[in-house]
Amino acid sequence: MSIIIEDISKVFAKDTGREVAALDKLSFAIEEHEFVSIVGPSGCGKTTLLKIVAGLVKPDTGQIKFSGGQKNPSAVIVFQDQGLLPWLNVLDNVGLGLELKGIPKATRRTQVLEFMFRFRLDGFESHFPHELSIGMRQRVALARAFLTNPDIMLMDEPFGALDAQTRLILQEELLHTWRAEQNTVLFVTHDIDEAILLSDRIIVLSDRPGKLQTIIPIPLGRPRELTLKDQPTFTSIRQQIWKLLEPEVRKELKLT
Amino acid sequence: MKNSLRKMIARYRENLITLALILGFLLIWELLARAGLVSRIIFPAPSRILVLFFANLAAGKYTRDMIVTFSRVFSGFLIGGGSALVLGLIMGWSTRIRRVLDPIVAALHPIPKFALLPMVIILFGIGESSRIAMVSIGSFFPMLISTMVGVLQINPTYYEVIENYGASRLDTFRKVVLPGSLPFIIGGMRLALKSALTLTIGVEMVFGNSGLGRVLWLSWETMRMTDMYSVLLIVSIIGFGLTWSLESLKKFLIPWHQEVRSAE
Repeated sequence: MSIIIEDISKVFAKDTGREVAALDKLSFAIEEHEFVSIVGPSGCGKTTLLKIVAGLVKPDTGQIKFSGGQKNPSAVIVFQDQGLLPWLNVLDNVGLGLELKGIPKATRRTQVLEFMFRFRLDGFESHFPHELSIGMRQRVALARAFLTNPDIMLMDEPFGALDAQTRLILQEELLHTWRAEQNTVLFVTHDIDEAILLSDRIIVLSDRPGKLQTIIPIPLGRPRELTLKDQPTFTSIRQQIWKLLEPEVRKELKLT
Repeated sequence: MKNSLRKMIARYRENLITLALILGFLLIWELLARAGLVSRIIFPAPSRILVLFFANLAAGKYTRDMIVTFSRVFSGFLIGGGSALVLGLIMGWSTRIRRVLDPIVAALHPIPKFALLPMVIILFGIGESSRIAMVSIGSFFPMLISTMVGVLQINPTYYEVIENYGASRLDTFRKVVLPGSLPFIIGGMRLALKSALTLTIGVEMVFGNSGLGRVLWLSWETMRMTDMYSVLLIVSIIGFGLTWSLESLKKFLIPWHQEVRSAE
Protein backbone atom coordinates (compact mmCIF):
# COMPACT_ATOMS: atom_id res chain seq x y z
CA MET A 1 0.00 0.00 0.00
CA SER A 2 1.59 3.26 -1.08
CA ILE A 3 0.47 6.55 0.44
CA ILE A 4 0.52 10.00 -1.10
CA ILE A 5 0.28 12.85 1.37
CA GLU A 6 -0.77 15.92 -0.55
CA ASP A 7 -0.78 19.49 0.70
CA ILE A 8 -1.97 18.64 4.20
CA SER A 9 -2.60 21.55 6.60
CA LYS A 10 -4.23 21.48 10.01
CA VAL A 11 -4.96 24.24 12.50
CA PHE A 12 -6.32 23.51 15.97
CA ALA A 13 -8.52 25.98 17.84
CA LYS A 14 -7.64 25.99 21.52
CA ASP A 15 -10.17 26.55 24.31
CA THR A 16 -8.50 29.90 24.94
CA GLY A 17 -9.48 31.01 21.44
CA ARG A 18 -5.88 30.92 20.28
CA GLU A 19 -5.20 28.97 17.13
CA VAL A 20 -2.30 26.58 16.82
CA ALA A 21 -1.10 25.54 13.39
CA ALA A 22 0.01 21.92 13.52
CA LEU A 23 0.82 21.16 9.89
CA ASP A 24 1.49 23.44 6.95
CA LYS A 25 1.06 22.23 3.36
CA LEU A 26 2.87 18.98 3.92
CA SER A 27 3.41 16.72 0.92
CA PHE A 28 5.39 13.53 0.47
CA ALA A 29 4.85 9.96 -0.65
CA ILE A 30 5.51 6.54 0.85
CA GLU A 31 6.10 3.51 -1.32
CA GLU A 32 4.50 0.16 -0.77
CA HIS A 33 6.38 -1.95 1.84
CA GLU A 34 8.45 1.07 2.73
CA PHE A 35 9.46 1.92 6.28
CA VAL A 36 9.44 5.71 6.65
CA SER A 37 10.20 7.62 9.83
CA ILE A 38 9.23 11.16 10.70
CA VAL A 39 11.48 13.18 13.00
CA GLY A 40 11.03 16.76 14.13
CA PRO A 41 10.88 18.88 17.27
CA SER A 42 8.07 18.35 19.79
CA GLY A 43 4.75 19.77 18.76
CA CYS A 44 5.47 19.83 15.04
CA GLY A 45 2.31 17.89 14.26
CA LYS A 46 3.76 14.41 13.81
CA THR A 47 1.01 12.73 15.81
CA THR A 48 -1.63 14.79 14.01
CA LEU A 49 -0.29 13.58 10.69
CA LEU A 50 -0.64 9.94 11.78
CA LYS A 51 -4.20 10.55 12.91
CA ILE A 52 -4.99 12.19 9.57
CA VAL A 53 -3.60 9.21 7.67
CA ALA A 54 -5.64 6.90 9.93
CA GLY A 55 -8.77 8.96 9.21
CA LEU A 56 -9.28 9.90 12.86
CA VAL A 57 -8.68 13.60 12.19
CA LYS A 58 -9.84 15.57 9.15
CA PRO A 59 -7.25 17.86 7.54
CA ASP A 60 -8.15 21.50 6.80
CA THR A 61 -6.60 21.32 3.35
CA GLY A 62 -5.15 18.61 1.17
CA GLN A 63 -5.81 14.92 0.94
CA ILE A 64 -4.35 11.49 1.51
CA LYS A 65 -4.34 9.17 -1.47
CA PHE A 66 -3.74 5.45 -1.35
CA SER A 67 -2.55 3.17 -4.11
CA GLY A 68 -5.19 1.87 -6.46
CA GLY A 69 -7.51 4.68 -5.44
CA GLN A 70 -8.56 2.67 -2.40
CA LYS A 71 -10.68 4.79 -0.09
CA ASN A 72 -10.33 3.19 3.31
CA PRO A 73 -7.32 0.95 3.63
CA SER A 74 -6.74 -0.56 7.05
CA ALA A 75 -4.32 1.69 8.92
CA VAL A 76 -3.59 0.78 12.50
CA ILE A 77 -2.00 3.15 15.01
CA VAL A 78 0.38 1.90 17.68
CA PHE A 79 0.26 4.54 20.41
CA GLN A 80 3.16 5.61 22.63
CA ASP A 81 1.34 4.36 25.69
CA GLN A 82 -2.25 4.18 26.93
CA GLY A 83 -3.03 2.21 23.79
CA LEU A 84 -4.21 -0.85 25.72
CA LEU A 85 -7.62 -0.89 27.35
CA PRO A 86 -6.92 -1.31 31.08
CA TRP A 87 -10.09 -3.33 31.67
CA LEU A 88 -9.23 -6.02 29.14
CA ASN A 89 -6.69 -8.72 29.88
CA VAL A 90 -3.79 -9.37 27.49
CA LEU A 91 -5.70 -11.99 25.53
CA ASP A 92 -8.65 -9.66 24.91
CA ASN A 93 -6.42 -6.67 24.22
CA VAL A 94 -4.45 -8.54 21.56
CA GLY A 95 -7.69 -9.87 20.09
CA LEU A 96 -9.48 -6.49 20.13
CA GLY A 97 -8.94 -5.71 16.44
CA LEU A 98 -10.17 -9.14 15.35
CA GLU A 99 -13.12 -9.01 17.73
CA LEU A 100 -14.26 -5.70 16.25
CA LYS A 101 -13.98 -7.22 12.80
CA GLY A 102 -16.52 -9.75 13.97
CA ILE A 103 -14.27 -12.80 13.92
CA PRO A 104 -15.80 -15.54 16.09
CA LYS A 105 -14.25 -16.21 19.46
CA ALA A 106 -12.88 -19.68 18.76
CA THR A 107 -11.07 -18.69 15.53
CA ARG A 108 -9.84 -15.54 17.17
CA ARG A 109 -8.41 -17.35 20.14
CA THR A 110 -6.23 -19.58 17.98
CA GLN A 111 -4.85 -16.61 16.07
CA VAL A 112 -4.33 -14.52 19.19
CA LEU A 113 -2.48 -17.30 20.96
CA GLU A 114 -0.25 -17.81 17.92
CA PHE A 115 0.68 -14.11 17.85
CA MET A 116 1.16 -13.99 21.59
CA PHE A 117 3.61 -16.84 21.19
CA ARG A 118 5.41 -14.98 18.40
CA PHE A 119 5.76 -11.90 20.58
CA ARG A 120 6.71 -14.12 23.53
CA LEU A 121 3.68 -13.05 25.51
CA ASP A 122 2.46 -16.61 26.09
CA GLY A 123 1.53 -17.27 29.69
CA PHE A 124 0.32 -13.71 30.21
CA GLU A 125 -3.17 -14.22 28.71
CA SER A 126 -5.08 -13.33 31.86
CA HIS A 127 -2.83 -10.48 33.01
CA PHE A 128 -4.15 -6.93 32.98
CA PRO A 129 -2.03 -4.17 31.36
CA HIS A 130 -1.17 -2.58 34.72
CA GLU A 131 0.45 -5.83 35.79
CA LEU A 132 2.95 -5.63 32.92
CA SER A 133 6.07 -3.54 32.43
CA ILE A 134 5.85 -0.76 29.84
CA GLY A 135 8.05 -2.81 27.51
CA MET A 136 5.66 -5.74 27.68
CA ARG A 137 2.66 -3.49 27.21
CA GLN A 138 4.17 -2.16 24.00
CA ARG A 139 4.76 -5.72 22.80
CA VAL A 140 1.08 -6.40 23.44
CA ALA A 141 0.25 -3.29 21.40
CA LEU A 142 2.53 -4.44 18.57
CA ALA A 143 1.07 -7.95 18.62
CA ARG A 144 -2.44 -6.51 18.43
CA ALA A 145 -1.53 -4.25 15.51
CA PHE A 146 0.32 -6.93 13.47
CA LEU A 147 -2.44 -9.48 14.16
CA THR A 148 -4.97 -7.50 12.13
CA ASN A 149 -2.44 -7.42 9.28
CA PRO A 150 -3.14 -3.81 8.30
CA ASP A 151 -2.15 -2.30 4.94
CA ILE A 152 -0.47 0.52 6.82
CA MET A 153 1.11 0.56 10.22
CA LEU A 154 1.21 3.95 11.92
CA MET A 155 3.52 4.08 14.90
CA ASP A 156 3.44 7.06 17.24
CA GLU A 157 6.67 6.86 19.23
CA PRO A 158 5.87 3.32 20.31
CA PHE A 159 9.14 3.04 22.22
CA GLY A 160 9.20 6.61 23.52
CA ALA A 161 8.32 5.69 27.09
CA LEU A 162 10.86 2.87 27.36
CA ASP A 163 14.26 2.90 29.00
CA ALA A 164 17.21 2.88 26.60
CA GLN A 165 18.04 -0.82 26.91
CA THR A 166 14.48 -2.08 26.53
CA ARG A 167 14.12 0.21 23.56
CA LEU A 168 17.04 -1.45 21.75
CA ILE A 169 15.57 -4.89 22.30
CA LEU A 170 12.16 -3.86 21.01
CA GLN A 171 13.66 -2.13 17.98
CA GLU A 172 15.35 -5.39 17.05
CA GLU A 173 12.12 -7.25 17.62
CA LEU A 174 10.21 -4.80 15.43
CA LEU A 175 12.78 -5.14 12.62
CA HIS A 176 12.45 -8.88 12.88
CA THR A 177 8.65 -8.86 12.73
CA TRP A 178 8.50 -6.29 9.98
CA ARG A 179 10.89 -8.33 7.83
CA ALA A 180 8.30 -11.09 7.84
CA GLU A 181 5.18 -8.93 7.52
CA GLN A 182 6.36 -6.14 5.18
CA ASN A 183 3.55 -3.72 5.99
CA THR A 184 3.98 -0.13 4.88
CA VAL A 185 5.12 1.72 8.00
CA LEU A 186 5.00 5.36 8.99
CA PHE A 187 6.97 5.71 12.20
CA VAL A 188 7.12 8.84 14.37
CA THR A 189 10.05 9.18 16.74
CA HIS A 190 12.26 11.63 18.62
CA ASP A 191 15.14 9.24 18.56
CA ILE A 192 17.42 9.86 15.55
CA ASP A 193 19.28 6.55 16.00
CA GLU A 194 15.98 4.70 16.09
CA ALA A 195 14.84 6.40 12.89
CA ILE A 196 18.08 5.52 11.05
CA LEU A 197 18.17 1.96 12.28
CA LEU A 198 14.60 1.17 11.27
CA SER A 199 13.85 3.24 8.19
CA ASP A 200 14.30 3.25 4.43
CA ARG A 201 13.79 7.00 4.43
CA ILE A 202 13.52 9.71 7.07
CA ILE A 203 11.25 12.73 6.76
CA VAL A 204 12.60 15.71 8.70
CA LEU A 205 9.94 18.23 9.72
CA SER A 206 10.44 21.82 10.85
CA ASP A 207 9.23 23.41 14.07
CA ARG A 208 5.51 24.15 14.39
CA PRO A 209 3.68 24.36 12.05
CA GLY A 210 5.26 21.19 10.68
CA LYS A 211 6.66 21.72 7.19
CA LEU A 212 8.69 19.32 5.14
CA GLN A 213 12.37 20.13 5.57
CA THR A 214 14.25 17.26 3.97
CA ILE A 215 13.83 13.65 3.05
CA ILE A 216 16.90 11.55 3.81
CA PRO A 217 17.29 8.11 2.24
CA ILE A 218 19.09 5.55 4.40
CA PRO A 219 21.54 3.60 2.22
CA LEU A 220 21.94 0.73 4.67
CA GLY A 221 21.18 -2.81 3.61
CA ARG A 222 18.79 -5.19 5.32
CA PRO A 223 18.53 -7.19 7.50
CA ARG A 224 19.92 -4.68 9.96
CA GLU A 225 21.38 -5.20 13.37
CA LEU A 226 22.17 -2.97 16.31
CA THR A 227 25.91 -3.09 15.51
CA LEU A 228 25.19 -0.87 12.48
CA LYS A 229 25.22 2.08 14.82
CA ASP A 230 29.03 2.14 14.90
CA GLN A 231 29.44 2.22 11.14
CA PRO A 232 30.65 5.47 9.53
CA THR A 233 27.59 5.72 7.22
CA PHE A 234 25.34 5.55 10.25
CA THR A 235 27.22 8.16 12.25
CA SER A 236 27.44 10.57 9.34
CA ILE A 237 23.65 10.36 8.76
CA ARG A 238 23.13 10.95 12.46
CA GLN A 239 25.21 14.11 12.26
CA GLN A 240 23.46 15.26 9.12
CA ILE A 241 20.02 14.90 10.73
CA TRP A 242 21.10 16.55 13.97
CA LYS A 243 22.46 19.53 12.04
CA LEU A 244 19.02 19.92 10.46
CA LEU A 245 17.12 19.40 13.66
CA GLU A 246 19.19 21.37 16.13
CA PRO A 247 18.09 24.85 14.98
CA GLU A 248 14.44 23.66 14.91
CA VAL A 249 14.65 22.30 18.42
CA ARG A 250 16.27 25.56 19.59
CA LYS A 251 13.46 27.46 17.93
CA GLU A 252 10.90 25.33 19.71
CA LEU A 253 12.67 25.99 23.02
CA LYS A 254 12.91 29.72 22.19
CA LEU A 255 16.69 29.54 22.50
CA THR A 256 17.49 31.50 19.37
CA MET B 1 5.58 -17.04 67.97
CA LYS B 2 6.04 -13.87 69.93
CA ASN B 3 7.40 -12.28 66.80
CA SER B 4 4.42 -13.16 64.64
CA LEU B 5 2.08 -11.76 67.30
CA ARG B 6 4.05 -8.54 67.25
CA LYS B 7 3.77 -8.44 63.47
CA MET B 8 0.01 -8.97 63.69
CA ILE B 9 -0.30 -6.09 66.11
CA ALA B 10 1.83 -3.86 63.90
CA ARG B 11 -0.28 -4.71 60.88
CA TYR B 12 -3.66 -4.12 62.50
CA ARG B 13 -2.57 -1.32 64.82
CA GLU B 14 -5.06 1.23 63.49
CA ASN B 15 -7.93 -1.26 63.59
CA LEU B 16 -7.05 -2.16 67.17
CA ILE B 17 -7.03 1.50 68.14
CA THR B 18 -10.45 2.00 66.50
CA LEU B 19 -11.80 -0.96 68.43
CA ALA B 20 -10.26 0.28 71.68
CA LEU B 21 -11.83 3.73 71.18
CA ILE B 22 -15.29 2.25 70.65
CA LEU B 23 -14.99 -0.13 73.59
CA GLY B 24 -13.62 2.65 75.81
CA PHE B 25 -16.55 4.90 74.93
CA LEU B 26 -19.07 2.12 75.64
CA LEU B 27 -17.31 1.25 78.90
CA ILE B 28 -17.48 4.83 80.18
CA TRP B 29 -21.13 5.03 79.15
CA GLU B 30 -21.83 1.73 80.92
CA LEU B 31 -20.12 2.88 84.12
CA LEU B 32 -21.85 6.28 84.10
CA ALA B 33 -25.25 4.65 83.55
CA ARG B 34 -24.72 2.04 86.29
CA ALA B 35 -23.50 4.64 88.75
CA GLY B 36 -26.59 6.69 87.99
CA LEU B 37 -24.52 9.68 86.89
CA VAL B 38 -26.50 9.96 83.64
CA SER B 39 -30.24 9.44 83.28
CA ARG B 40 -30.87 5.73 82.82
CA ILE B 41 -34.04 6.51 80.92
CA ILE B 42 -32.29 8.58 78.26
CA PHE B 43 -28.97 6.70 78.31
CA PRO B 44 -29.68 3.11 79.32
CA ALA B 45 -26.52 1.06 79.88
CA PRO B 46 -25.16 -0.31 76.57
CA SER B 47 -25.24 -3.85 77.94
CA ARG B 48 -28.96 -3.46 78.60
CA ILE B 49 -29.55 -2.04 75.13
CA LEU B 50 -27.68 -4.92 73.55
CA VAL B 51 -29.55 -7.58 75.55
CA LEU B 52 -32.89 -6.06 74.60
CA PHE B 53 -31.75 -5.51 71.03
CA PHE B 54 -30.92 -9.17 70.51
CA ALA B 55 -34.03 -10.31 72.38
CA ASN B 56 -36.25 -8.10 70.22
CA LEU B 57 -34.44 -9.08 67.08
CA ALA B 58 -34.86 -12.77 67.90
CA ALA B 59 -38.53 -12.24 68.70
CA GLY B 60 -38.95 -10.61 65.29
CA LYS B 61 -40.06 -7.28 66.69
CA TYR B 62 -38.32 -5.26 63.97
CA THR B 63 -38.50 -7.76 61.13
CA ARG B 64 -41.51 -6.31 59.36
CA ASP B 65 -40.24 -2.73 59.60
CA MET B 66 -36.79 -3.78 58.42
CA ILE B 67 -38.30 -5.40 55.35
CA VAL B 68 -40.42 -2.31 54.66
CA THR B 69 -37.46 0.06 55.01
CA PHE B 70 -35.23 -2.20 52.94
CA SER B 71 -37.74 -2.44 50.11
CA ARG B 72 -38.18 1.35 50.10
CA VAL B 73 -34.42 1.87 49.93
CA PHE B 74 -34.12 -0.59 47.07
CA SER B 75 -37.12 0.50 45.02
CA GLY B 76 -36.04 4.13 45.30
CA PHE B 77 -32.46 3.19 44.48
CA LEU B 78 -33.50 1.13 41.46
CA ILE B 79 -35.88 3.74 40.05
CA GLY B 80 -33.80 6.85 40.80
CA GLY B 81 -30.34 5.31 40.44
CA GLY B 82 -31.33 3.29 37.38
CA SER B 83 -32.66 6.26 35.45
CA ALA B 84 -29.67 8.34 36.59
CA LEU B 85 -27.32 5.66 35.29
CA VAL B 86 -28.85 5.81 31.83
CA LEU B 87 -28.97 9.60 31.76
CA GLY B 88 -25.46 9.91 33.23
CA LEU B 89 -23.99 7.69 30.52
CA ILE B 90 -25.76 9.71 27.84
CA MET B 91 -24.70 13.05 29.34
CA GLY B 92 -21.13 11.88 29.75
CA TRP B 93 -20.88 10.59 26.21
CA SER B 94 -22.71 13.29 24.27
CA THR B 95 -21.25 16.78 24.61
CA ARG B 96 -24.34 18.27 23.03
CA ILE B 97 -26.85 16.68 25.41
CA ARG B 98 -24.56 17.52 28.35
CA ARG B 99 -24.49 21.18 27.35
CA VAL B 100 -28.28 21.26 27.26
CA LEU B 101 -28.94 19.41 30.52
CA ASP B 102 -25.96 20.37 32.69
CA PRO B 103 -27.36 23.77 33.78
CA ILE B 104 -30.64 22.16 34.80
CA VAL B 105 -28.81 19.52 36.83
CA ALA B 106 -26.60 22.19 38.39
CA ALA B 107 -29.69 24.15 39.44
CA LEU B 108 -31.59 21.17 40.88
CA HIS B 109 -28.74 19.28 42.51
CA PRO B 110 -28.04 21.64 45.45
CA ILE B 111 -31.66 21.66 46.67
CA PRO B 112 -31.81 19.68 49.93
CA LYS B 113 -33.92 16.77 48.74
CA PHE B 114 -35.93 16.63 51.94
CA ALA B 115 -37.27 20.10 51.20
CA LEU B 116 -39.11 18.60 48.23
CA LEU B 117 -41.36 16.49 50.47
CA PRO B 118 -44.38 18.83 50.44
CA MET B 119 -44.23 19.16 46.67
CA VAL B 120 -43.85 15.42 46.22
CA ILE B 121 -46.88 14.81 48.46
CA ILE B 122 -48.91 17.23 46.35
CA LEU B 123 -47.81 15.40 43.18
CA PHE B 124 -48.00 11.80 44.39
CA GLY B 125 -50.45 11.91 47.30
CA ILE B 126 -50.10 10.67 50.86
CA GLY B 127 -49.11 7.14 50.07
CA GLU B 128 -46.33 4.76 49.27
CA SER B 129 -45.66 6.34 45.88
CA SER B 130 -44.67 9.63 47.54
CA ARG B 131 -42.18 7.83 49.80
CA ILE B 132 -40.66 5.94 46.90
CA ALA B 133 -40.53 9.16 44.87
CA MET B 134 -38.57 10.90 47.62
CA VAL B 135 -36.07 8.04 47.88
CA SER B 136 -35.75 7.96 44.08
CA ILE B 137 -35.00 11.67 43.93
CA GLY B 138 -32.42 11.21 46.67
CA SER B 139 -30.67 8.42 44.75
CA PHE B 140 -30.90 10.14 41.41
CA PHE B 141 -28.41 13.00 41.69
CA PRO B 142 -25.39 11.29 43.27
CA MET B 143 -25.73 8.50 40.72
CA LEU B 144 -26.16 10.90 37.80
CA ILE B 145 -23.15 13.02 38.64
CA SER B 146 -20.83 10.11 39.44
CA THR B 147 -21.76 8.33 36.22
CA MET B 148 -21.29 11.43 34.10
CA VAL B 149 -17.92 12.20 35.67
CA GLY B 150 -17.03 8.53 35.20
CA VAL B 151 -17.55 8.78 31.45
CA LEU B 152 -15.81 12.16 31.21
CA GLN B 153 -12.63 10.98 32.94
CA ILE B 154 -12.04 8.17 30.39
CA ASN B 155 -8.75 8.76 28.61
CA PRO B 156 -9.59 10.07 25.10
CA THR B 157 -6.91 7.81 23.62
CA TYR B 158 -9.13 4.78 24.30
CA TYR B 159 -11.79 6.20 21.98
CA GLU B 160 -9.16 6.70 19.27
CA VAL B 161 -7.84 3.17 19.73
CA ILE B 162 -11.24 1.60 19.32
CA GLU B 163 -12.29 3.89 16.49
CA ASN B 164 -9.02 3.08 14.77
CA TYR B 165 -10.03 -0.60 14.77
CA GLY B 166 -13.35 0.30 13.16
CA ALA B 167 -15.61 0.14 16.22
CA SER B 168 -19.31 0.94 15.88
CA ARG B 169 -21.13 3.16 18.40
CA LEU B 170 -22.33 0.05 20.20
CA ASP B 171 -18.77 -1.36 20.29
CA THR B 172 -17.51 1.92 21.74
CA PHE B 173 -20.19 1.78 24.39
CA ARG B 174 -19.52 -1.84 25.33
CA LYS B 175 -15.75 -1.68 25.17
CA VAL B 176 -14.91 1.82 26.39
CA VAL B 177 -17.77 3.91 27.81
CA LEU B 178 -19.27 1.33 30.16
CA PRO B 179 -16.15 -0.44 31.48
CA GLY B 180 -14.24 2.84 31.66
CA SER B 181 -16.83 4.52 33.84
CA LEU B 182 -17.61 1.45 35.97
CA PRO B 183 -15.41 2.45 38.94
CA PHE B 184 -17.25 5.76 39.14
CA ILE B 185 -20.62 4.05 38.64
CA ILE B 186 -19.94 1.82 41.63
CA GLY B 187 -18.85 4.89 43.63
CA GLY B 188 -22.11 6.53 42.58
CA MET B 189 -24.08 3.45 43.69
CA ARG B 190 -22.51 3.78 47.10
CA LEU B 191 -23.47 7.45 47.42
CA ALA B 192 -26.94 6.79 46.00
CA LEU B 193 -27.62 3.94 48.46
CA LYS B 194 -26.50 6.10 51.37
CA SER B 195 -28.74 8.88 50.16
CA ALA B 196 -31.63 6.43 49.68
CA LEU B 197 -31.24 5.17 53.24
CA THR B 198 -31.15 8.72 54.63
CA LEU B 199 -34.25 9.74 52.71
CA THR B 200 -36.13 6.56 53.62
CA ILE B 201 -35.55 6.97 57.35
CA GLY B 202 -36.36 10.68 57.16
CA VAL B 203 -39.56 10.21 55.21
CA GLU B 204 -40.66 7.39 57.50
CA MET B 205 -40.07 9.62 60.50
CA VAL B 206 -42.34 12.42 59.32
CA PHE B 207 -44.90 10.46 57.44
CA GLY B 208 -44.72 6.74 57.64
CA ASN B 209 -47.11 4.02 58.58
CA SER B 210 -44.28 1.59 59.09
CA GLY B 211 -40.54 1.17 58.67
CA LEU B 212 -37.53 1.69 60.87
CA GLY B 213 -37.83 5.48 60.73
CA ARG B 214 -41.36 5.19 62.03
CA VAL B 215 -40.24 2.91 64.89
CA LEU B 216 -37.45 5.34 65.68
CA TRP B 217 -39.78 8.30 65.90
CA LEU B 218 -42.45 6.40 67.88
CA SER B 219 -39.88 5.20 70.38
CA TRP B 220 -38.70 8.75 70.93
CA GLU B 221 -42.28 9.97 71.33
CA THR B 222 -43.03 7.26 73.90
CA MET B 223 -39.60 7.48 75.51
CA ARG B 224 -38.69 3.86 74.76
CA MET B 225 -35.01 4.60 74.45
CA THR B 226 -33.77 1.03 74.04
CA ASP B 227 -35.95 0.74 70.93
CA MET B 228 -34.52 3.98 69.62
CA TYR B 229 -30.94 2.84 70.12
CA SER B 230 -31.78 -0.55 68.63
CA VAL B 231 -33.10 1.04 65.47
CA LEU B 232 -30.05 3.29 65.22
CA LEU B 233 -27.90 0.18 65.55
CA ILE B 234 -29.86 -1.63 62.84
CA VAL B 235 -29.68 1.36 60.49
CA SER B 236 -25.93 1.68 60.92
CA ILE B 237 -25.49 -2.05 60.39
CA ILE B 238 -27.54 -1.81 57.17
CA GLY B 239 -25.41 1.14 56.00
CA PHE B 240 -22.22 -0.71 56.81
CA GLY B 241 -23.52 -3.84 55.08
CA LEU B 242 -24.39 -1.94 51.90
CA THR B 243 -20.94 -0.32 51.75
CA TRP B 244 -19.25 -3.63 52.39
CA SER B 245 -21.22 -5.48 49.71
CA LEU B 246 -20.38 -2.76 47.17
CA GLU B 247 -16.69 -3.03 48.03
CA SER B 248 -16.86 -6.77 47.38
CA LEU B 249 -18.75 -6.16 44.14
CA LYS B 250 -15.97 -3.79 43.13
CA LYS B 251 -13.23 -6.38 43.57
CA PHE B 252 -15.28 -8.75 41.48
CA LEU B 253 -16.37 -6.35 38.70
CA ILE B 254 -13.26 -4.20 38.30
CA PRO B 255 -10.24 -6.28 39.22
CA TRP B 256 -8.16 -4.01 36.98
CA HIS B 257 -8.95 -0.86 38.90
CA GLN B 258 -7.46 -1.02 42.39
CA GLU B 259 -3.92 -1.64 41.23
CA VAL B 260 -4.12 0.82 38.37
CA ARG B 261 -4.59 3.60 40.87
CA SER B 262 -1.88 2.44 43.22
CA ALA B 263 0.51 2.06 40.29
CA GLU B 264 0.03 5.63 39.12
